[in-house]
Amino acid sequence: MSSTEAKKMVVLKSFDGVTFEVEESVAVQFESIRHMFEDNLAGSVIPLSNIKSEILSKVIDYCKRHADDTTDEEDLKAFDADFVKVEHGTLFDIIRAANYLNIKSLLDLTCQTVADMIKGKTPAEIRELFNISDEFTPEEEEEASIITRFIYMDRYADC
Amino acid sequence: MGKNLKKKLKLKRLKNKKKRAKAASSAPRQPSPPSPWLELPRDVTVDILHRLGAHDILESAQKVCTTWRNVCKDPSMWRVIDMKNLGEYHDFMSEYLDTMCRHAVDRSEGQLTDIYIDYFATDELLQYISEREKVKSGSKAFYQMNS
Repeated sequence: MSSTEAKKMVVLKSFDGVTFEVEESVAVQFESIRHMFEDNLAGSVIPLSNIKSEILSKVIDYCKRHADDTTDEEDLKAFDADFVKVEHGTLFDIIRAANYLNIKSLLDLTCQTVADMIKGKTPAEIRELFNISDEFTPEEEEEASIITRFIYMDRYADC
Repeated sequence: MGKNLKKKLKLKRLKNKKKRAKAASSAPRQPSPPSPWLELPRDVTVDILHRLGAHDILESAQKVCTTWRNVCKDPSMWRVIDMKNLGEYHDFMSEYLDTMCRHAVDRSEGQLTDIYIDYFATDELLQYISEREKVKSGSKAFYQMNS
């Protein structure tokens, strides 16, 4: 690995103190911290104080796979599909990490996964899915359903 | 005697009141912690909910909770309005979708850049959209018709 033409490495440190050595070609996908290792700070440890090691390792895996030019399109799609088959809590943490590190393709993938989970569900089903307690006041509930009611009233007025 | 009785009664009432207060505080009426999903940065929530398309935003997402309702009111959610691929289409739906589309356009508050409409588009609807946009921002909207 470490020949004279060794690839430049970047060291990342997770919230729980685990360090990861990552090739610069992989780490460049972390848009928001890119300047840190590009500004000649090679070798120094970049702390990512809000990402757990478990999540950081997943994110690095994702970026490694996406930095690899030899992977073909189909394999990458299969990898992505598999990558998001995780518990809600993990998916949530990955979204936060992708947003913090500004990894556009990963944010895209995870946001689409959540949107697909929501699509076609009723408000009650969505609340259950994400453990959201119904914090609507009656007035708000009324306001939110106004368009629907208006539309239906309109439609049935002729019947 | 009368005074003592009154005192006793008062004491009893006070005790009961304390009991009730204690019961209320230890009762299961503890508010559950807010869902972490509601603590996502607003941009990310917009990103997720926008992917649902106009129909699901108006019919489901905005009715989930106050946080999402506020996000769904944001004009930035309505710059691109997607009302295509709405599943099986029936004639009776056109009026409903027409009203929904107008509502979505109103929410964009002149920031509309793209709108995708399926089969239910009528001349009147397109007229409405173009007028709203002209009046509010003078910007040009791009309409893509799918058949």
